[in-house]
Amino acid sequence: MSGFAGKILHVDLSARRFERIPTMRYREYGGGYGMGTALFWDLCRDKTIRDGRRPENVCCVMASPFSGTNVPSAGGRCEVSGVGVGFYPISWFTRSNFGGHFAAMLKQAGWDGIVLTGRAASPVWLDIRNDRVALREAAWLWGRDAWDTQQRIQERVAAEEEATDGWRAVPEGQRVGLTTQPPAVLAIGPAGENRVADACLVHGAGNAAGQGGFGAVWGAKNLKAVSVVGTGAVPVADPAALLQARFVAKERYAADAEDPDLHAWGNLDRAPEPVVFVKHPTDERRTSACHGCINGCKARYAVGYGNEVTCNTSAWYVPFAARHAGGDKDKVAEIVLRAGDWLNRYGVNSYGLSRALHWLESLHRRGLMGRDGPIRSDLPWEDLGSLPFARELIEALATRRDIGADLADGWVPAALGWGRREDWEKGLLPFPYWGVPEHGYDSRAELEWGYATIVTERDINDHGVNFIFWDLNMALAYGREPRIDAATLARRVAEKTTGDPAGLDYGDANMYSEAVARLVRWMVHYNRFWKNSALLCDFRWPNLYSSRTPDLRGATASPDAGEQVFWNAVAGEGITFEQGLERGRKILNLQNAIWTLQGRHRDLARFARYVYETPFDRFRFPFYHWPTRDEDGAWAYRSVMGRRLSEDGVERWKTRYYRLEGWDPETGWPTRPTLEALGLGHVADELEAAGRLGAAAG
Amino acid sequence: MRTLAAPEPELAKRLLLGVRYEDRLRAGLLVPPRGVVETPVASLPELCSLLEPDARCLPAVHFDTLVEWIGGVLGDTELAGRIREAVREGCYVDGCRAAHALISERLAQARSCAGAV
Repeated sequence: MSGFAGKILHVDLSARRFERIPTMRYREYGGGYGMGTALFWDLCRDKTIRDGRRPENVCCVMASPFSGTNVPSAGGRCEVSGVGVGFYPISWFTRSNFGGHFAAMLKQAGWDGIVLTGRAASPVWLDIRNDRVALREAAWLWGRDAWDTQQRIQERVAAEEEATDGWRAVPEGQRVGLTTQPPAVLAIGPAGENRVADACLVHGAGNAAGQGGFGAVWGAKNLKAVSVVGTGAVPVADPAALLQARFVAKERYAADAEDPDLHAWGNLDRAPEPVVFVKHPTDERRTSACHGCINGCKARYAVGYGNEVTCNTSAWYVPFAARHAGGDKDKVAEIVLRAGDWLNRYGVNSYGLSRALHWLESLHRRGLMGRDGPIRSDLPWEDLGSLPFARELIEALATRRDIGADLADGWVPAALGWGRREDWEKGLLPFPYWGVPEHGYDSRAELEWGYATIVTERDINDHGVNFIFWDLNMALAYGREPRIDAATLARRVAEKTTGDPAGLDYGDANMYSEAVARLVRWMVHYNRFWKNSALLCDFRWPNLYSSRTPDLRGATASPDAGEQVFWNAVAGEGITFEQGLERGRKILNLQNAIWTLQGRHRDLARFARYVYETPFDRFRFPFYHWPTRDEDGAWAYRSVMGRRLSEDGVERWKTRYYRLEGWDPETGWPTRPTLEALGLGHVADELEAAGRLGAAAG
Repeated sequence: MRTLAAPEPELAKRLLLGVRYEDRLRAGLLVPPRGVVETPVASLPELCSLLEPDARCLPAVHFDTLVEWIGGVLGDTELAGRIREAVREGCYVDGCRAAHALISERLAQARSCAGAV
């Protein structure tokens, strides 16, 4: 059984019992979200729960066959799933993931994943050393931040192992394995302990599973951390084929590290660079990458702060720090990076803050929040932008103090509780779907992002098609000719996706079309299997087009370095790329069955009011171009700014999407024929028993 | 390039101190692959920082809005006029660089003026 370790660890926290689940039973789901979904279906006794903090919740932490291998930008991702916390109107069964080395170490210890059920009677941490596992008392860790917790566990494990010249002995069956590595630890901070909606799971300095509130899920389970150390290896079916595919990916598709093309189109050929949005605090820095990654999107600094503060964690506080520092970029960098450290230590997700902090400031400025306002807050709002304010705010959120008490169940629920529905509906609190923040791409302009989110369960956070926005608009901003013309780009993307270039037409006349529905459907199926189950990193995959190759074709689905090439080399299967997509469709259907039992109906799958009522003019940025066709069918890049979505149009689009999926268009629920065709007849039975099986087309 | 006339102390003070919350310039930062980060601007130092060339992110600002804000809200009609001329040619990033150069010059003048006072 290549690629897989062969067993999944089931931890019943209530009974303090362990069970080994044969991975073979779930192999077709790939790993990650797919396996997590199937395990949830089988092990969750009450699938109607709407709050992940309930003890019935089943939380899975899953690797994939790629974990621990050198498949490019895939070896280090780890997926977390279960019912989430803090969404609106219902906290759906959902997912998050994080990078680093945890998944690789889990595989090296001989496990494909961990399933957490029940609730421990008192705080515990899970100690995994190869196949020896133990639930250990964690009162001494409770109250500590995520960094301190990791360090203390590593020290405790090291003290308990025999070590010689830097090598540690770890039990390995009847033998002893040797390693130089400390255990990889995934932990919660105070936010998780206090079960607040924005609580993360944190691994290393800044690898965090942020969306979904899984820190709160662990806190509710009284689980402080999981540590794992392994001395084994990941069995690869065809190492030569894997190496060959990696060489091809490097030579044909990836950026030339010695002479990178800084204006390349495509994502696999993007030059490696830390994703940090403030000035680096020092030149004495080095890149930090997840296991086996060709990229290295994080940075570590000799100054001792800001390590692995990446992406949004390095962006959310910039506007406020810039004001506080009077535009001094060195000061801004220090404030933002240190604030990022506090987020990682307390284990707080930055995404809600990045959208909602402007709203909180406006509440304060309007006299609605403060020491004398109707929303009581004693935080020093006049000091917003400073590092002390950031820390105080983060601590309040993490410990349910001050406004943190109201925000502990989510941002939109808090807004409604404060009587600020109007702020949400008008977009002052820009949380357009499911009570979660807009990612940075507005659904009125960037169709696939919004649509894929409302037909699933959370901010889709999938940059596969979205890289078109970046490649095109950065070229326009710098006055460069687009590397690929609109018609060719649409054809190239169509070849990799639905076969129909019309799906790439983001023009007003095509916004609600079946072609767009087909593109979104492809994207969701890809997302469910290749990205979130096989665990290819979103920053690099799918690679739909590439200015590096003579024919402008990307690596996705290619016969030499496509996703299926890596899969078959590692897992020893012989699947096609399309069979992977079909697995994604099965996973999606199983997830929709869970959402349906939780209370999903198509009437809930709506955007916030402002998406329908207010034209998109994001900060007057002069352009937001996408490929479009004119009345004669001629392709060109045009701006799609200034428009809004029509409610009727979105409803028509949803109907098209549900029909394509074989779901009941009246309800959005799965149907028996669709489920049975996917081998999910037992799922149809359970839905029917609950009175929530969709009506099949007549 | 013509230099800007030295600002009056009152204007220098306004440019440095910034405007009321409700009068801020709506602007943003375009940070790949994070998206657009809302970054409202209240003062000339903040604006200078936002527009400073940076390989990792781009300012997100509409030049017409920028010119209106500098001329109308900050009250610096000379700077507004010079920026309007400067951003007329070239690509968006060229425009940002040209605006940044002028704003940097004005910022140095304002700081010098404020220091003298």
